[in-house]
Amino acid sequence: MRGIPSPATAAGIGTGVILLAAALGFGRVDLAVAGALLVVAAASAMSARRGVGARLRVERDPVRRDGDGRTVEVPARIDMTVPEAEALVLTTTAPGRRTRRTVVAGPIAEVPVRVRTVHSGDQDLLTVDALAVGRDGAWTLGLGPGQTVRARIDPHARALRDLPLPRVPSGLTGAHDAPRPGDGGEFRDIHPFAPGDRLQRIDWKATARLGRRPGDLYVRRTLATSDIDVALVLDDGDDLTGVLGDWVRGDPGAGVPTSMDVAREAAWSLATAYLDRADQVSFQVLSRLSSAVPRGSGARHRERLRSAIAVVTAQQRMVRSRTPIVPASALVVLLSTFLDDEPVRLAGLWRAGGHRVVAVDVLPQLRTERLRREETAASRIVLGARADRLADVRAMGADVLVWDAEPGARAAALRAMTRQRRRG
Amino acid sequence: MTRDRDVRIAVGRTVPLWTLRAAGVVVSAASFFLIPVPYAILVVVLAAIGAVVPATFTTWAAIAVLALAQLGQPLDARASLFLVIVHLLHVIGGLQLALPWTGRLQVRALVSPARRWLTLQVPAQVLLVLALLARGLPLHGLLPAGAVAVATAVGIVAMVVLVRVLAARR
Repeated sequence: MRGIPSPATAAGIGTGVILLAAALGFGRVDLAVAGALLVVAAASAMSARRGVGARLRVERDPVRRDGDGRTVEVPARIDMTVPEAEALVLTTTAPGRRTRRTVVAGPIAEVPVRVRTVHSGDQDLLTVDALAVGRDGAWTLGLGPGQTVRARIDPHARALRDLPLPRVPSGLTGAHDAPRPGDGGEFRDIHPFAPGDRLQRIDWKATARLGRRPGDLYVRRTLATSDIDVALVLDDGDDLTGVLGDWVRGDPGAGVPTSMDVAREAAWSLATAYLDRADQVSFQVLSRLSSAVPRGSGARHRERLRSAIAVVTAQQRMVRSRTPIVPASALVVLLSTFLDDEPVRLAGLWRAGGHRVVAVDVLPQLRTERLRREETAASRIVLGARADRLADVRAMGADVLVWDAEPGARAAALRAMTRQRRRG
Repeated sequence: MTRDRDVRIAVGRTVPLWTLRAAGVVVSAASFFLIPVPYAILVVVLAAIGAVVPATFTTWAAIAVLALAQLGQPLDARASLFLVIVHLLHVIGGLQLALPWTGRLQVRALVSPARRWLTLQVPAQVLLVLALLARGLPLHGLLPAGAVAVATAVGIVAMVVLVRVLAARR
């Protein structure tokens, strides 16, 4: 690969020769010196190698998460080596952003770059192209093909204190109280001693208080503990920002999170919180049920879930989709934008099957500025239908959690869901 | 450092790339000190066209107009300024042909062209001063015109070789 000579050299030499000829014709020494200077300058800038052995390399460093958790910073390093190049024109393009050009000194340049993004999942963060320029612009060389800074950005896990639980925990052991008597749970009742009760369970104070005849013994019974099944079902039919104008124009809105970003964050936060309590978590995506992660717990399962959630992207949903199968008596967490009827149908099916359903609304906070009148009217219709769907979901007995809300509001909603179960 | 909200490129101090083109026009404006106003205006206009559309090569046309207009002026110390303008216009013209119009220019990227400019400009200025001093001496007839032309050509080739060797050592 060799650079293309620029006409600047020919222009310089040609002008120099004209000046030399004029100097000879008119006997002017200043023109002679200027002409000779131009010829020397143009000729000395020429190069036979013209960037042979040029190299462009982009290396990415580990992703760093900002204080707010939602924004990540991806450091990268652009290495360019072009022998005999005087300047290197670096062209960087971030998705949804203006192309930027930066001219740096050659022939070797190491340029640190930092890309900030609010998105998660597989992201093409930056495309880098470079052009080498010889001395005084004598030649140019494109360092194609362009290199792309790619990263798989794990979703952020928000800390959740209160978590909704299914009506009846069905596991054999775990961190939650089961309704049946057993070991490990909270106090249940005082009960007359029966064959099979352990002697160490005899409550002597209760026996002294309640015993009527010699030989009456009372035992202190506790509740059993149980883990729960949580089925995370992610509706990947849409990927929308909260900027309503973007919906019309199809602009991905590079600087603001999309519904898939919110869904990934919600799914990973809930999965982490339930796994921390040693519960069984499964994960399914509506458009690709074959890629489901079956129920499980533990460190290895956590990594499997993390990679499964991080790679989810919006997909066209099948016309006839199979209903995701969830474990019996599992808590079903349905993450969706509720912009179509399918999630409502699924919530109804699961409610009819006796599952507790938590519908997580993953649509980002809406921004309605700079909308035309017809766009405003259209958005009202779409959002009205969405509000009706969410009302239907509530009417079925499902809980609705708006994820992209103030952290306090989200925590309060989760706490309210937890109390509902205790009351019920 | 160039920065926007999401992409930060750390390259040290930079200036907008258009300043390079503006510099070409500013340099050409120095021709008002050398040649009559109508010619100077023509030089500036040609340099400005060359800055906006470098592919027209009017930057070098501006050099030619400046040199030819210089023929009507007496030969004096202002010839040094003439050399400076001609050389700067050539360097800026070459760079603006290769570099884009928009973007940022690392200030350090100008060091190498400036160093090479000085490497050529200083000997040229010395040569010009010597030539101006030798003007009054009775050298006419000492060397034939053909010999002067050959000596100039040899000098140019020697200078090219010298500059390239110096550049290769760096």
